[in-house]
Amino acid sequence: MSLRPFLNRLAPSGRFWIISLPYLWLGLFFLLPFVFVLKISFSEAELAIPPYTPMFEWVDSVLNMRINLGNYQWLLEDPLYLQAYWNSIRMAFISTLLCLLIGYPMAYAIARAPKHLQPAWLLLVLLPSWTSFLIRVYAWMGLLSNNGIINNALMGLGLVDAPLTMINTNFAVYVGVVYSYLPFLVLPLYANLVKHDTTLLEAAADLGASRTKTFFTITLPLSINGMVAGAMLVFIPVVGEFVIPELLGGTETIMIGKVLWQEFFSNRDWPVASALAVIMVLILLVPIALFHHFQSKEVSR
Amino acid sequence: MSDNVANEASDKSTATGKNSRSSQEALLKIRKLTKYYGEALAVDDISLDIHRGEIFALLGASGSGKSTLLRMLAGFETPSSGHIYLHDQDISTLPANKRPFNMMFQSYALFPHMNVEKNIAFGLQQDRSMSKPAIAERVNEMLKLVHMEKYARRKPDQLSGGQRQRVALARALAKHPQLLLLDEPMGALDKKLRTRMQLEVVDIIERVGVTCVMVTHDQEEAMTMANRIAIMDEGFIQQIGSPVDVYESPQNRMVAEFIGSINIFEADIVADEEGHIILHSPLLDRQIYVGRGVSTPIDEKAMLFAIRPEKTFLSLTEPEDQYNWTRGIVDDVAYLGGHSVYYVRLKGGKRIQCVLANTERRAIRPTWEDEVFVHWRSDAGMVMRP
Repeated sequence: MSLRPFLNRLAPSGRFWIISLPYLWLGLFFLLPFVFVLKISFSEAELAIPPYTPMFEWVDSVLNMRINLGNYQWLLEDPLYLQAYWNSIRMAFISTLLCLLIGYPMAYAIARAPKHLQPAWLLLVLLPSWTSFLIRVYAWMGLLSNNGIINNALMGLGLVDAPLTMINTNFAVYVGVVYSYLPFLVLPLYANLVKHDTTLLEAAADLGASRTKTFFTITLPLSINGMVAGAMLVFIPVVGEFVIPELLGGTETIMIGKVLWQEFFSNRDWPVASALAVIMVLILLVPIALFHHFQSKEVSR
Repeated sequence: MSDNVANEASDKSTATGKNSRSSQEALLKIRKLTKYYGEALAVDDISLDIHRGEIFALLGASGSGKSTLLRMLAGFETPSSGHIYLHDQDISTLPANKRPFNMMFQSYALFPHMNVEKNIAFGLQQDRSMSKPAIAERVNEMLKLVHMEKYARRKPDQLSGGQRQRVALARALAKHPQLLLLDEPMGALDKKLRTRMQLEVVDIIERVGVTCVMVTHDQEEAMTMANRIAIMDEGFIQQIGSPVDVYESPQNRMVAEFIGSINIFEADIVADEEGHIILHSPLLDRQIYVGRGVSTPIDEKAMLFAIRPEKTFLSLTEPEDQYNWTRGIVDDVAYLGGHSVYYVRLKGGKRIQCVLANTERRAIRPTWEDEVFVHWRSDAGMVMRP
């Protein structure tokens, strides 16, 4: 009879199972793959299947474990890789800023639109992302190429004599990135702005603040969590973006996603590619932690 | 008759300290103010004066238009027609941020990302001519006024309801507004705190000497805080008067029933003399003698006789008077400690309320199903046109 409470204490409670679910998910789909990649990054490239040396070897009753740090050394020594990291972060940063500049007015306008129109406006923001990402980036190739719609229109109108070089430049990458990731910024920002108490704006007006002043002293500071959440949803994936720089970028666009792809598929150097990926994840941990911090603050509000 | 009594009542109230600080000089004149929301009429042709230094309450149920009127004063809504004059200057279309009025919002609307100090300083900072030390000094003055010096660095979500209200009041008073607007000032507080804060807020307002217009649906709040009350219903004002006026001399049935409890009887005039009138109601055993002259229309005999529950008496023996009593059966008794409310069923089946103050401990009192006699003094009731 007295055994039951004792057993109950040993057996995990319902709460334990509920909390453990997301951790199980993260462990299975994030931690485990990451461990695999980490393991590969410590091996050496080899012409075999799989194309890297095993980490553990059983030779003559001895378990050998080989940890090769050469890949990391290689990455740090060759300026190409550091340049690629730097470029990726810079491009992600600038794209995030551009998204904020374009997305904030959009989110604000939707949040302040009449209640019955808001779903329609949100749908218009989301609608493009229901078609294939790849097709939309291809469409930009058609728009931006030398013989594309924009150049043809400009030349037809006589505004330019020769086609503007837009495709295969960083400009085209920015266009593609901002276009593709804008909804990810608009949605969380909208979710934040729509919750604002409008009597705060009335209070500010009542105390003598102009509309501009009210925006910068009340609305903007109160939407900072939404801005950070949205910005991280743009920044984090853009750092590792591969498709857009590959299709729209040129030789000047050296981003880590592209370099990684080349190492993996062109050079078949899985260990170096893995090391590249590991470092990228480590770099992104900072913004991810930031994101979580602001996200939980936003949720708890 | 009602005008008669209204004068008498306001004479009385000016003698008390409450009214003395307000002058008859109009600070704000509202003229024929009307507001439509689409087809719906929210405020219907209102004209009234707000006197300098008074606390004026707009009292009404939700949907009576009181909040719309307040929002038009604040500048959040533009009137469909009509004008608001401040010192004879038309401000009807002046935007909210240009009006020398400040509002304390029902939800307080404190800025959640700013601490108490910064909330209070916000309005002052909009004034470019004010230097930083001057702002700091004024903020301190305000903090002292509302006893919140200790909490200057707290954020609004770290304050209790009463503290938030004090900050909201300090913020609204910081700019020396010519008119302070209060929107349901105690709406967010629990009952006990409400009573305390009502007196505290009035005390602060009177110390500052600011003219104040408040909106409330709580008659007790209006009676406690205001010098004059306007009772609003369906977009227009039913009566304006001091708390005593509106309670003791309501001008019509709506006002009488809205403020406090009242027993109303339909009665016909039997005799109308100078100095008194006699009424007859089929529900009451004896005729009603009102010891005041009442100006009645000659062709109309049907009137309303109204009497407040606390102005009636209950007895178990039949009164000897010729007038002003009736027989009834005690239907229900609500013992409330300080007083008891008796629900007495008259012969027509109508239930009336009588309040008895419990001045003696465990006295013998009428109880359920007792036959009782309800009586009243000849000056206790009111006569109204139906």
